[in-house]
Amino acid sequence: MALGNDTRAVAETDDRTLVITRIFDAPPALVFQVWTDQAHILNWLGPHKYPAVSFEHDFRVGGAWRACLKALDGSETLWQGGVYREIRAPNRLAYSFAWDDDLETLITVDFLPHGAKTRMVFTQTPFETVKSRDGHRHGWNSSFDRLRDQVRARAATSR
Amino acid sequence: MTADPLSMTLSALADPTRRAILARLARGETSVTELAEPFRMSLPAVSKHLKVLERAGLISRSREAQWRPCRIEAGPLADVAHWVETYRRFWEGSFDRLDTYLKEMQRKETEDGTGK
Repeated sequence: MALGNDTRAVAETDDRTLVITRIFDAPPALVFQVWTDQAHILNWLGPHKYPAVSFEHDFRVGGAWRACLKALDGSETLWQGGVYREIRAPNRLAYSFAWDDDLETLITVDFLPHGAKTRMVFTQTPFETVKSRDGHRHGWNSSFDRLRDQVRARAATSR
Repeated sequence: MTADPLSMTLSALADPTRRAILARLARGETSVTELAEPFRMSLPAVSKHLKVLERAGLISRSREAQWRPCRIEAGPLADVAHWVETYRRFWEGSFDRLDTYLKEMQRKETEDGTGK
């Protein structure tokens, strides 16, 4: 019985990536605009009971974004933010996302034409996953850094 | 490495070999030797992975039996599932609003269009 639960848990973690696919009754250009324009974002970001009340961004690759969400009853304010990683209007948007004091994640959104509509594929994955995928180069770099440090240390002691 | 438990769990889970080890352990507890077999990996290499999993609380190793069997611990995995679920609720809620907003926008546009 306990084993059954464990197996299910493992299956779930095989995708620590959240994937949501939706069809929107609007062309990709409009969906992209609504997703990336400050004035529009405030009209949809956040669930009904936790709408975004402020949104600021520097909309370019490497630029930061930040949003504040407020509970409808005013009991709580939550901040989230990140940095734009990829902007390819009207089909792709990628940015980092983190709640304050929480783990960094990477969000990728594809807006694909679906007749006159848009098929949106949204993925959110923890950076730990991205890091391990892209991590080999970093691994090498840190090895070289250590080697360099060792060489320096040795040079210093031989002096 | 970050110290909070969820980061440690995610970091431990980021490696495909470690995920495979967990998948194997989900079928029942086993020895290190037995675990190493399907991975064509040396015992020290497997032990290294097990240490990472153990530090993240994803497995435990019995100290009673001589062969120290490994056992999966479901707690941290449930935390990850919960974390992902929280995000899902947040986004599904936002996308419901996005859907409504897009419809409203386009309806207004058509109304404006016919008015001209």
